[in-house]
Amino acid sequence: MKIVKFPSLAEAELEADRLITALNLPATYKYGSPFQIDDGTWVLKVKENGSWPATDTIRGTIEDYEPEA
Amino acid sequence: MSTLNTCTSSTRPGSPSDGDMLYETDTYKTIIWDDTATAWREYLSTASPYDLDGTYSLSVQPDAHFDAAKINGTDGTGNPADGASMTDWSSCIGSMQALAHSTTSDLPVWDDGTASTEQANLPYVYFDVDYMLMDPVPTVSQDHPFTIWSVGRKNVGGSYQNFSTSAYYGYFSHTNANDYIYHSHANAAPPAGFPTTSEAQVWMFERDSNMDTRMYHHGNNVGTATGTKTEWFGFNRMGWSHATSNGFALKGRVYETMIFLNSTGELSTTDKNALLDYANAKYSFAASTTSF
Repeated sequence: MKIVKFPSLAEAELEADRLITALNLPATYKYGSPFQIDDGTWVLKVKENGSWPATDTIRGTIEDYEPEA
Repeated sequence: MSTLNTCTSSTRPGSPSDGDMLYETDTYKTIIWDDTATAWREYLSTASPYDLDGTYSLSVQPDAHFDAAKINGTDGTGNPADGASMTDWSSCIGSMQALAHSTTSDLPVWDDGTASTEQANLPYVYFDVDYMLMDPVPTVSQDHPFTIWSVGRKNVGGSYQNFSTSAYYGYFSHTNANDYIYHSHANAAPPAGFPTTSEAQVWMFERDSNMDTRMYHHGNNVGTATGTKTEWFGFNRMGWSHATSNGFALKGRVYETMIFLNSTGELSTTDKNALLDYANAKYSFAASTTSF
C-alpha cells in the first residue's frame, strides 16, 4: 500500500479532516486515522482505488509501505 | 402431534395448492408451495445438503458463504459498480454479513473481473490492507473445529489472510511467504510452490477435531506450520485484524469464501473434494489442485 508521512500526529489528523471535504465524502464518513509506522512517524494510508481515491488529492509525498507482522 | 406429508426431491406433487407443506426425506427440507410465485419455497434443516452450483454439493451447510458475484447473497443485481468501494456483503446462506464501514481509506473495492485474464473473468473483492466487519461475528467454541475455505489471490510481495479476530490473526501468509498459524504461535514454510501470487488458489484453514490447525494450499498441499490452540475465536473482520501499523493484512483478491464452525467445522474428505471440484469447474485455475 502507499502512505504519506507527516511531521506530527496533529498534522496527519488535520490532513485526514481536510480530505473529508476535499473528497466530498458522504455525511458521517471519514477518510481514515493516522497511524505510526515502525520508525515512529505518523502516516496516513493513501487510498488508490474505490469510490473515493485520494492519490491525486492527498497532500505530501506518496511512498510505498509494506506493513510487517 | 401433526405430521407433514412427505415426498422426495424427485417426487414433489405435480399440482400443489397454495400453502401446501411437505417434508422432503432425501434433502431434509421443508417445502411450501407459493401459488403467486408458482414455486416451492424451501427451508433447509441443519442436515440438508448444501447445493454449490447444481452439480456439486456438500453434506453440511456452511455457516456463511460469501460470493463476490452475489454481493446481495442472491444474484448479481445488488453488485456495486465496477471499481466502487464495497457495500454490505451478504452471505448466500443464513443471515451473516460482511458490513462496509464509514472509513473510506480502509474499504475494499468490488471489481467485476472483466478486465482480468484469470479465473474466468469472475468478479472479486480487492483488499489493500482494508477490512469489513462481520455481523453477526462467526464464533468457534473452545475445543471445537472450524474451517475457513476460500478462493483468493495474494498480491506479489503482499500478505494474505481472510478472516481475523479483533486482536489476532488466525492464519496469515506473511510477506515473506511463510504460513503463520494463530498469533505468534506457529510459523513455517508453506508447501513447495505455494502460495501462488499471480494466480488465484484455493485456501483452506482448518482446525480439526484434534485441535491441530493447518493451512491447506490449493487442495491437500500442507506446509509444516501447525497451530494447536484450543480457545474460542470470534472472527470479527474480513481483512486485517490489528491496526494498520501492524499490518496483519489481506492484500489481494477474494472471489469466494465459506465458514464452517463447531459441529460442522471439520469437513469430510468427500466434502473437501467436492469443494475442490466445484472451484476447479468455476475458476479455471492454471495449476491443478491436489485431492484429499
